Amino acid sequence: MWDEQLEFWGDLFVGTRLHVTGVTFETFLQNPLRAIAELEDGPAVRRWARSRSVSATKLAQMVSGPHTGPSDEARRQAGIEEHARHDVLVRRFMRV
Amino acid sequence: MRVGWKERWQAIRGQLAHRAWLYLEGLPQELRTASLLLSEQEIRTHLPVPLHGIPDQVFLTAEGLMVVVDTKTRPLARVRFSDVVQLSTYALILASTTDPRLAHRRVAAHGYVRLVSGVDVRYERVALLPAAEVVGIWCDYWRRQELRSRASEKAA
Repeated sequence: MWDEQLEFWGDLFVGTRLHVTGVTFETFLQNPLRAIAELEDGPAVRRWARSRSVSATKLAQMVSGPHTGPSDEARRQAGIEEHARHDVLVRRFMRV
Repeated sequence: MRVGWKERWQAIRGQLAHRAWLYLEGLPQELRTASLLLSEQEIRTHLPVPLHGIPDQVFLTAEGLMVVVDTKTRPLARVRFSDVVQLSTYALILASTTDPRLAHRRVAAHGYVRLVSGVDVRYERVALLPAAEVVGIWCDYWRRQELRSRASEKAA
C-alpha cells in the first residue's frame, strides 16, 4: 500500500514539474497540497507556470471522459455561432 | 436643446430592443442589475496552480461580486459536472489573478450555465467547487499526462 501511495505522489510530483519551483520531493511528500498552497510568486514560479498551465476547457474535458458519441460538426458550428451572437448582444445591452 | 423626432424614435427603438432582449434572454435578477466585466476575454493565473481560460461572460453584481456565465449549446438542456468544473476553474482564476481589472474583487460561490437548446435559453444556477478541489483536478490532469507519456515511451 505504501509503495502504491509513494508511486501515486511520485507520478504527481513528476507530472506537475513542481521541482522547477524549488519544492523538493521530501517537502512535497510531507503535505502535497500545502506544498502547492505555499508556493510564492517569483521567477521560478512564473517559469513553471509557462509550461504547466491548463485551460478550464481541458480540465472539463478530462472529467467528462472520452467523447463516445458521433462527432457533430454542425452542432459544433452552431455553438460557435451562438457564442459570437451572444457576445455581440450582451455587449450591446449590458452596462459595461 | 430640442430633440428631433428621429433621435426620439431611435431612443424608443433602442429601449424596445433592450426590453425584448431581456425578455427573451431570461437573465436572472442579479445579472439584470449587474454590469458586464468581461465577454470572451482571456484570463490567467499562475498561483495557486497555473490555469487559463476564456469565460463567456463575467458580470459584476450590485453587491460587488464577480459571477461567471458559460453558454452550452446542446439538444438536451442539462447541466453536466464538467460544466461545474469549467465554471469553478474560471472562478479560481478570477479569485487569484493579478490582472488589475479583476484583482481585489470578490468572486461568487455560484455561477450560471446558460443552456441554449434550439430557440430556448435558460440560466441554471450552480454551486461552484472549492478551490482545493480544482487544484486536485489540475494535479490529476498532470499525473495522467505523465502516465500517458510514460506508456507511449514504453510502447515505442
